[in-house]
Order: sequence, then C-alpha cells, then structure tokens
Amino acid sequence: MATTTELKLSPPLQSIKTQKPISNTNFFHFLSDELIFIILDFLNSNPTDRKSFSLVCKSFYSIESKHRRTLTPLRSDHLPSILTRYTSLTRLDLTLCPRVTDSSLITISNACKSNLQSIDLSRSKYFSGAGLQSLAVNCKNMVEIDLSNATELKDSAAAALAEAKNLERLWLGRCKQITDMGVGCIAVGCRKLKLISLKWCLGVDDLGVELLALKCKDLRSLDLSYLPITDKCLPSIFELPYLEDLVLEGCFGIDDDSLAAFKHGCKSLKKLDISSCQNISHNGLASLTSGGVLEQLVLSHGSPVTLALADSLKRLTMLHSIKLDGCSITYAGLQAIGSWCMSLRDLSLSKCPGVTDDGLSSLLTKHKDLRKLDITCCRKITYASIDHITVSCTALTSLRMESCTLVPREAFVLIGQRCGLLEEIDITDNEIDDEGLKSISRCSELTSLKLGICLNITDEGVSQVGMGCSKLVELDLYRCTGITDSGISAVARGCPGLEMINIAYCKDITDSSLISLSKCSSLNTVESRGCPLITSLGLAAIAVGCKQLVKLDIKKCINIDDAGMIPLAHFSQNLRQINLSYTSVTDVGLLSLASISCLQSLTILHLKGLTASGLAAALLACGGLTKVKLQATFKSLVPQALFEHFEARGCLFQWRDKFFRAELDPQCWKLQLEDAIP
Amino acid sequence: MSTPAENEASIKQESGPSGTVQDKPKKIVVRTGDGEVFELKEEVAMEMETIKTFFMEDNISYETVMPLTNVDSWELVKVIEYCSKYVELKNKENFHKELKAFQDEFVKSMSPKTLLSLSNVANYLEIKYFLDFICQAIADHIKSKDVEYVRELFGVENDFTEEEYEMAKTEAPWAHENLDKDLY
Repeated sequence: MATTTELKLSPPLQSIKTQKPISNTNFFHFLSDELIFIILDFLNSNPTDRKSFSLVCKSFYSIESKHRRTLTPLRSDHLPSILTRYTSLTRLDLTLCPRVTDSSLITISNACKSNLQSIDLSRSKYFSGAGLQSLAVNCKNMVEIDLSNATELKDSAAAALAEAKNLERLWLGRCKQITDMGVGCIAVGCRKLKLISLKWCLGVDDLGVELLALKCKDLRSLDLSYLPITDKCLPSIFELPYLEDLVLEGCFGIDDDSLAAFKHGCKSLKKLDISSCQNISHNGLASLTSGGVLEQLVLSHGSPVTLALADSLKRLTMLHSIKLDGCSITYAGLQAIGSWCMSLRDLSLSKCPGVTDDGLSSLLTKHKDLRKLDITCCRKITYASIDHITVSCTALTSLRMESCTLVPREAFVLIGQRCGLLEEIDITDNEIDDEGLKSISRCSELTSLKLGICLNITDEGVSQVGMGCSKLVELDLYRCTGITDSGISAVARGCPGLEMINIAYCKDITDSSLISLSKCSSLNTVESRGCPLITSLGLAAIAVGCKQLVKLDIKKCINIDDAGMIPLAHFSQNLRQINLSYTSVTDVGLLSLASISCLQSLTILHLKGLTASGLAAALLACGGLTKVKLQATFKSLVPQALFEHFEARGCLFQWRDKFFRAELDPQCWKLQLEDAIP
Repeated sequence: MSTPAENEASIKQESGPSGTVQDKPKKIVVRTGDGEVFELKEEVAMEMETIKTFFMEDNISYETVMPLTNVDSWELVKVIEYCSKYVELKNKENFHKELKAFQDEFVKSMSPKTLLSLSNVANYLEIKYFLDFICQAIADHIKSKDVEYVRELFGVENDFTEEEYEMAKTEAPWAHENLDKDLY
C-alpha cells in the first residue's frame, strides 16, 4: 500500500533529498495541483489575494482557473471571456448583473454544461423562457436556480424550466405572472424538487399547489406565503411524506377548519410559519398537536396569545422555538406557556403588547434553557424582569431588548454579571450607562453589540467593551453622542475582527477615530453619518487599511471632499454601496469613483458641487450601477435619452424632493419619535 | 472505525509471543529518505494514515522498519513534534486554546519554503489536520501581499510577457465571492 501513496509526488521530488531546502528553486513545481488547491481553499477571504496569486506566473494562472468553483461576475458582457477561463464552475452568482439576456444564458449553458449546479438570477432581468430552456437542457446537473423577482416570466418560461429534470431547489418569489398552469408544468417535469418558494406568486392558487403536492413527493420545504390558497390544497400538502418546513405567512384564505387536515398527516413537519394569518385561532392550532415532531412555530402578527391558545400548544413536546412578534398577550397566556412541559430555547415576544413583569416571570420559571430571547419594545417590563431573566436563563446567547423604556440603568449591570455566554445583545434606545456597559464587557464571547440611541454611555464604558470583548464583529453606536475618539480607539485596538461599525451622529468623532479603525482590516461596513469633524484624511486612512470595505455612509460629513474620493477609488475595490449626500464632493470626486468596478448603489442628495454634466459623466463611467438616489431637480437637467440608456443598462433611479434640513439635537429628536408612537 | 484487519492486528499484538504487555508503549520504526532511523510511539505513528495503512492492511509486524523514502529527517522531526503535541492535547479541556498557542510557536520561525516542503510531507503521510494547518499557514503568507512579493516569497519567475500580463490583469473586472445580500 505504501507504493501507491508514493506515486502522489511527481518525480522531481526525489532530487529534493540532495538539495538543501533553502535554495532559490521554484518550489511550487514540486507541489501537486491538489496541494495548491488546498492552499487556495484557505485564500478565500479577500478576492484580491486570489487575483495576486493568479498573476504570479502562467502555471499559477491556470491553476487558479481550474480551482475556482463559484463565480460572481460584475458584468454580463464579460461572461464569454470569463467562462473560457474558468472551466470548472459549479455555481454562478449573477446578482451583480442587472441585465442578463437569453443570449447570456445560452452562452452560460453551452460553456458550463454539466458542471453547472447552481445559478442565481434573483437580481437580474431581461431573460425569458428561451434562455431558461437552454439552461434546463444543457446543464443536466443543475439542482438549484433562484428566479425570485422575475416579474416578467410567464407560464411558458415555467414550462421551459420544467425540462430541468434534476432540479431540487427553486425560488420563484414575486413571479406574479406565473399561474397554476406554469406551476403544474414544473410539478410534472421536476419530480426531484425538494424546495420551492412561491411567495407572492399571486397567480397561483389551490390547483397549482395541489399539483405540486401530488407530483413532487420529495418536497422538504414549501413556501406559499401570501398565496390566495384555501383549505382545498392543504390535505394534499399535509400528505407529503417528507415535508419539514412549511411557510403559510399571510395566507388569508386559511382558517381553523383548514388546519383540521393536519390531524391525518404531516408526521414529518418540523417548522411551521403561519404568521399574519388572522383567521387562525387556538382552535386551529389545537389540530397541530397530533403532529408530534414540530420544533419551530412562528405565530407572529396573529391571534392574541390567550390561555386557550397557549394550552392548545402544550402537547407539542418537541417544540423549542416560538415567535409571537406583534401578538397581544395576556398574563394567563404567559403563565400557560410557563407551565408547558417542554423547555424553550428560542422565544420572541417582540412588540407584544401585554408583556408585564408578572407574566414574564411566571413564564421564566419553566424555561431556564433559553438561548435566545427577544423582548423588543416590551415597554411595561422593569428591573424585576431583567433580574428574573438573568437569574433563570444563564445560558442566554442572544438578548434583544430595544426600547424597553421602563428598565432602569441599574438593571443592565445584572446582564453582564450573570449571563456570561451572551454573543448578541441589542440594547438600542435604553437607559444603560457606563456601569452597565462595564458589566457587559465581561461577556467575552460577544460578537454583536447594539447601543444605538443610548444617551447615557460615554467613552469609559465603551473602552471597557474594547478591552473585554475581543471577538466583537458588529458595534452600533448610532446617535451615542457621548462617544469620542478615545472610546473608538479602544474598540479598534481591542477588537481586531471588527466588521461593522456605526458611529452616525457621534458629533465629537474626528479623523483620529478613523485612523484607529483603519487597523481593523476586516471592516466591511462603516456608517459615520453626521460627523462634521471627519475629513478626507480620516477617510483615506480607512480606504488604505480596510480593503474589504463594502458599504460606506458618510452623509452629512460636510468636511469630506474630493480628496477623500481619490484614495477610495484606488484602494476600495470591494466597495458596493456609498452615500455621499450633503458632503463637499464635487463632479471630480464623483467621477473618480468610476474606477471602482463593483459600485452598485449611489446616494448623492444635496451635493452642492454637483452639476448636470458632472452627474452624466459619472453615471456613464460607473458601468455597474443598479441604484442611484438623487435630487428630482436633475431629472430635467440631464437629457431624457441618457436616463433611458441607464435604465436599459439595469440602473434604477430614485428621485427625492427633500429640502435641506438642519440637524435636530438628539433629545429633541427622541421626543419626536416617542410622540409618534401611540 | 477500525477495520476487522486492524482489530485482528491489535489482538495479535496484545497476546504477542514474548508476552509483550499492554502497558509497555509500542514503537514503530521508520527510515527516512536520507538514511536516518526513527522510533515513533504507536499512538503518534497511527496519526499518519500512510503508516497506519502500511501496518494494518497486511498485518505487518511492528518489527519491520517502514521506509519513508520521500521524507527527510528534518521534516520527520517536525511532523513528530506536531503530531505528538496534537495527540497530547486532543482530550484536554482547553484543546483549541492550547493548540492555537502551539501552532503560533510552531510556524513562527518557518520560512515559506519550509512550509512548502512540510505540506508535501503532510500530504504524503496523509495527516489531514497537519496538512490543513500547514496550507493555512502558507495561505496566510500570501494574504494581502502583491504579486511581486508572492513571486519572491516562493522563488517563482514571471513567465508572462508584458502583453499577456496586462491582458490577464485587466481581463475581467474582478469577480467576487461570498456576497452579503443583506447589505441591500
């Protein structure tokens, strides 16, 4: 057996024995392609690394070409050359190409043939059944295709798709022109379907769904949200032998009687979503209990959670996750949930009117194994609830409590003291102060921390977070006006893996913060709206240090000008979304951004230095734009023909008529918001 | 996951003729390409699929010296060092933490060329976790470096002509992977 393994190495290696390893020979020639593939597998985080690798020499170039399995092209017109170079592609993600025609699809199908397994067309338009047919016929191993948002596709396109015999996963969300006929064709042709989403396909009702259920017996996952279906199709759905995941969000035609069919079937269902089904009450839910294996239930925006409803669910012994967002809840309901025999892992009471301290504590007596708890906007709970939660549920990994306005600052200290395993905390719009934040900094596993509109915290607390939470990936300090450079620097130093930061309207932030943040090389999202002290100097530091930058919002940073755009244009080759409204950028700066080839979304309201001709030039040069938000005044200043050209290229324009608004101070803004809530 | 052959082999050894007792650690002897002979502890040697297969598949007695012609002695020393530490830490509580600390020390002074040789050896001896570790270390060397640096690092020459290079560079505006769709 030793002999076959020796054959793995190519002959030249024998000579390595006699050579010292430190000489200047080409070592990569001694490595098999297989080994280099493994090295390339580890080189996945930044696309420019692979680019550098491929440009080293011809053999590296060809190895990289053979290695690549998934590709996300930036322009559909480059497809022919890309496909000649990359011959082993299994997955093609075309979400950056707003315009994909039938001829592009035909090119793809002829180039990739049986290698292609998965294709994503959810952001593309201009193709039809002809292109889909070519894919279905030539790409025999295609198992997955995302056609969400293809609003122009008709039944004939569905019929063409039906020739993809090996299709397992199909998304048709929002394909509103597809009717029962089209779905019927797919049902008959794609017998191996395991997942199908027909969300918002308003042309499909009972007939189409029934056909699917009858023909595609392998279905595991079915999304029928917002379809006008009634109880006619449910019996056949419930008879699917392997169905695990069923989404019936917003299906107004379904009521309590419809669910009765559940009793005779559906032994495999693990996840059920009946949110926004106003016609289902506890009577309907009682039918579910004969299922037995249900693990996750979504009842958001549905009937009030009363004692009757909670009782109807108590025999679902496998249930570990329940979402009750927006449902009104009674004390009796909460108490009943607290007397279930099964122990929940995941509970959401987000925006549920009626959640009180007493109700919550009676619930928590039972559910001590909670990992995720969402009590967003539960405005009646106080210190007592936080005390109970932290004492009972020490294994919590996620706590969301945005806007729990009655919770006093002292309560937040308990969170860090008792729930050390927390990974995600959302305390947006709460009274937390530095003491609370210092306590939270003990949660060393923390990856996401949202402190937006927390007006009582200062650098003191935030610095502690920087020191204690080294795994932090996401930090939201939106409108935390007490934060200055020293807090941000501490975070930048202590959290090297930071990917997302929001310091919008933290008025005292200067370039010094940005320079510190530039050391976080994984940063991909920077939101620093309304920071008037930031200049192009700080922006340049970010551009140079954070090469993975994808989203940048510098709205109302009035001191950022064209000088900041140049380094962005040069270094931020991954930038896809930028908001420059109210800055001092002019035509020149905007035009320089054209060298960022993947720039897709541009928001440029109130740029005083922008002229009609500058705008036109920039739009023409940025070939990949799909969304531009700008002033309505430009509509008439730029030739209509030009706009038509951009739209044909796949770019959408959003016009705004906003007047320049002076910034409100945080307290005033906050009072306004509270007034708006009933 | 032991095969019937392996089971048989271990039974044979446990009731060996000289009454070799279970408590004495078994040794496996190998000879490297440059003629050095090494004695490996059985548990460490069995981490290497190649050695494991050699002895287990044909029930070869541990007395046989296995030839590892494609491995140099300095390479084997490093491999043994890593595998011994891995086996030692495997069942400990702080496995990941301590392994990480060890890994950082291990690669600290290694040149890319050393890493490349070791990757070959790891592949030949079929030690998956060691191979992944070494390849990750090589990838880390390449990360965020420009083309010239990578060339020099691995002693590779540029065989593109000017034209070919320019063409390859601007060929297709670079495509990206791992999109975060939620950004929109």
